[in-house]
Amino acid sequence: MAQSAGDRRRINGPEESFSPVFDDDEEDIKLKTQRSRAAGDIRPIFLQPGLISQANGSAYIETDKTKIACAVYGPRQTKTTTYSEKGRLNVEVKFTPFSCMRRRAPIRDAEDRSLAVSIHQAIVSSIRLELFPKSTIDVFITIIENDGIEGCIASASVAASTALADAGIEMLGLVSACSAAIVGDDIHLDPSEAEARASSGTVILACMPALDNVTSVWQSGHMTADMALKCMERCHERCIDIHSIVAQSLLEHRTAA
Amino acid sequence: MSSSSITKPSAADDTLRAQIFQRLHPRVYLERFTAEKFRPDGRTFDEWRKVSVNVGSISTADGSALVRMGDTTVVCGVKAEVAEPDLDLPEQGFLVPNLDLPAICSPKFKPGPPTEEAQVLSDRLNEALVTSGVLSLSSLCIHPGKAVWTLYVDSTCINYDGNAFDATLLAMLAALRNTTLPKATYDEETGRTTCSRKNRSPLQLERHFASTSFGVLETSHVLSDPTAFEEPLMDVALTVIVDDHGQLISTNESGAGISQETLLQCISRAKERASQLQRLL
Amino acid sequence: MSSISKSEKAYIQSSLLSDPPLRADGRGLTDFRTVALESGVAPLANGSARVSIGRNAYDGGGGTEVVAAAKLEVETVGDGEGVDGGRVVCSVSCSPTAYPLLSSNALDDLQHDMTSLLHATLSHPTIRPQNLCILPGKKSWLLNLDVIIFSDAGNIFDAIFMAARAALWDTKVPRTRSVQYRAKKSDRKDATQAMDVDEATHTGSALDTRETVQVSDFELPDYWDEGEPLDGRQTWPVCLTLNLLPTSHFLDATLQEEASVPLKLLVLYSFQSDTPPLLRSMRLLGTGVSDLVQVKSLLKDGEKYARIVWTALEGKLKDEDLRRNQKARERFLNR
Repeated sequence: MAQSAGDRRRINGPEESFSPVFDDDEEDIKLKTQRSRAAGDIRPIFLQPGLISQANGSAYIETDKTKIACAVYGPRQTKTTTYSEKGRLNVEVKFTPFSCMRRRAPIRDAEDRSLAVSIHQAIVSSIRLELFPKSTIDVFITIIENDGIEGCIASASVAASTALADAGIEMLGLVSACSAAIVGDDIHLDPSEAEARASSGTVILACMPALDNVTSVWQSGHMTADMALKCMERCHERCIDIHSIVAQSLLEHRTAA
Repeated sequence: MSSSSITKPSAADDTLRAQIFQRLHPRVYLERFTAEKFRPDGRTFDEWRKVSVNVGSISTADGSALVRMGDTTVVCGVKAEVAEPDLDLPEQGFLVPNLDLPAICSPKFKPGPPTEEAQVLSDRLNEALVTSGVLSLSSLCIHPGKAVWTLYVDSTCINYDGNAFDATLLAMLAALRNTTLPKATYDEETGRTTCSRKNRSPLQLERHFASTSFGVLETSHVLSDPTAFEEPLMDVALTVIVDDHGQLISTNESGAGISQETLLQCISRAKERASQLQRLL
Repeated sequence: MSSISKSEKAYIQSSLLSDPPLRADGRGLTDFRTVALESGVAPLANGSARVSIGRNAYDGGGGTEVVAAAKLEVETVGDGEGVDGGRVVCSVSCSPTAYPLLSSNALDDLQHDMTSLLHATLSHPTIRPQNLCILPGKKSWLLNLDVIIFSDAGNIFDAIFMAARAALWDTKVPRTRSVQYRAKKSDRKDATQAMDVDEATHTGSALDTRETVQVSDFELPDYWDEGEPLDGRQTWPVCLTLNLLPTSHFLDATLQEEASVPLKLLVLYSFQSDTPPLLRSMRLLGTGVSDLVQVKSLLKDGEKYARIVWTALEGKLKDEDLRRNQKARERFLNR
């Protein structure tokens, strides 16, 4: 899309440019909504802690097309002068310009912030922030490729929790997260972008399976309360599986190091 | 921190003490190594770090590459968009390379607008791609005066361990090689450009080249492919770009001066390296 | 938003948990403060409303105060962000006096967060009114819903959505009529019945020079009223914030009460006569944790309370309709 003209801090292209228009867009969308796995299956997860050597802790997560890198810096000194008894958790999300079907101009937009807020919500209650007075823990997330915002939030929350564990930050438990979309009358777990767009409602659930509690619920679209609960229960089941993947990958990383 | 165990030093304490020394006196720390003809990561002066290139893994981009040079990791994605050409250059497309050094890649960067370093690197990358003529811009023309392709070559550094320039240029070139453009037709009546999803063709790259960076310490020690720790301690930073026929494209030097002899030596090392890197692509 | 001391927090928490529960203003756990609503407060908007919760009855001061206004503009489909069938764009802005303690950055972030919930809920394609479409595939209405927070004395999300709902209820979409311009002697068979074929604009017309092929446009007929209400205006949801205590929950928290509970659950319901109530959004906010069993019971309770709020709001909105129409008529007669 159009770029902020005259940004001297970047190399600028023409004043306006547009995403190419294809002759068969509709067919393409139809093709992408077709689901190749069962409704209750999530995309396979590849999770690798510790890839970013400069950070205190890091994780890279890949679920099919979605690719997300996450790094944790800190706990480090909070820059503001006011005293805070508890540590501060700062989550920043950045999309690479090539992460979506349409190019994203490299400026912070509303979506970055709302993603950061929901990831913050998912992980904040797992961290023992009372142990880090006057400090900030920075969690930086770069979305390299995005195939569905719901999946991104869930995967990024998992990656963030893994990176926090990799950084040796004390937590009450590991956070796993899973998303669901209602397509017709079915519940499709871990929807892709096309699936989420075709759905009437979505749910993202984050929880700490080891403690059997819920840290975040994020529902949009419309559905009955019963359906929402059903989605949450299905997500919760998958979160238990995801939890063991996270634990396994951290264990392997530790023994390898 | 380690005061309690001074009497009985263990291996862990030694590492910690070395780390503290490195933080407090980086220059002396480095000099202790260079005196022994070695570098902190165990390399000799003219040793390169391992490079790996992975192309085409990002489906939302028209071409992409991931380059790891030692621990430095750069992802590059090419996005093609349609734009109106400049009035005075009706047949020329646009090539827009940018490098982002986000807060994720190193503790020295903070979230926010591009840092000075990112701006300088983006500028140098742009110059390298433009002056070398990697791609003829007229090959990006869809319809003269009406529609041309704009290639946004965006790179993001995921892990910054020095020599981001070489890694990024390599990633950009690999991504451009990997890029395919859909066949586009401009409809003169509606003024719209439509593309075919099935019919895609690769870019016609005119030239293959690679850059090689060196750091010079005390005029005599030439360290190739410096890390993030070594980079700020160098007296001179030198980058040499040569093409696959061994022809020199450009050199870029900053800091104190270097002798002609060193320069020539670096150029010949760069040719060696360039042909190595070409084989990776 | 307000910062309170640890002992204050403990005091409020223990009173809320005591039997019977005690609140500083004497309310029960599920009681609301007085809610005042007035629609049509912004004469230039297509729809508007002001909501205040807990305003002091004697001097009219205090309380949470929110104004929402909807404004329509025409968009061309395919240009920029224009979407076939129209779209709704929401934004929330806070007056700095509502949050005097926040820095401008923190205020921006807060606005952002409120905007994101409002926008995500009200602009979802599943709730889009049908009559935002003017010409299928060509022109559509862009509905801008702007909410301004003048003061926050707690329970801001409920207030925002009440105001938004009232403003959207109040919104009138101008009537439009399709028009077809045609070149001389062109084929006529594709003119539909609903269209007006404008034959007065033949040769020499400014309209004719634009295109020689057929193109459709629309015009606003000169009716005396402002237009018709948005389709499905019953479906706009109400928001209910459940503030969570370990064993119970309470509604309509004041600022001090908000600061002393770590977790709240926002549920947004819409009620229609023919279908079961639909959940439009749900968010868990805060630093505490919950569990599935609790969420389940909260959803059930939330639905019950939300229906009460919805019924009250629906009654008030109908009153407002009546009041404004009657008033308008009387004013007209007294001229």
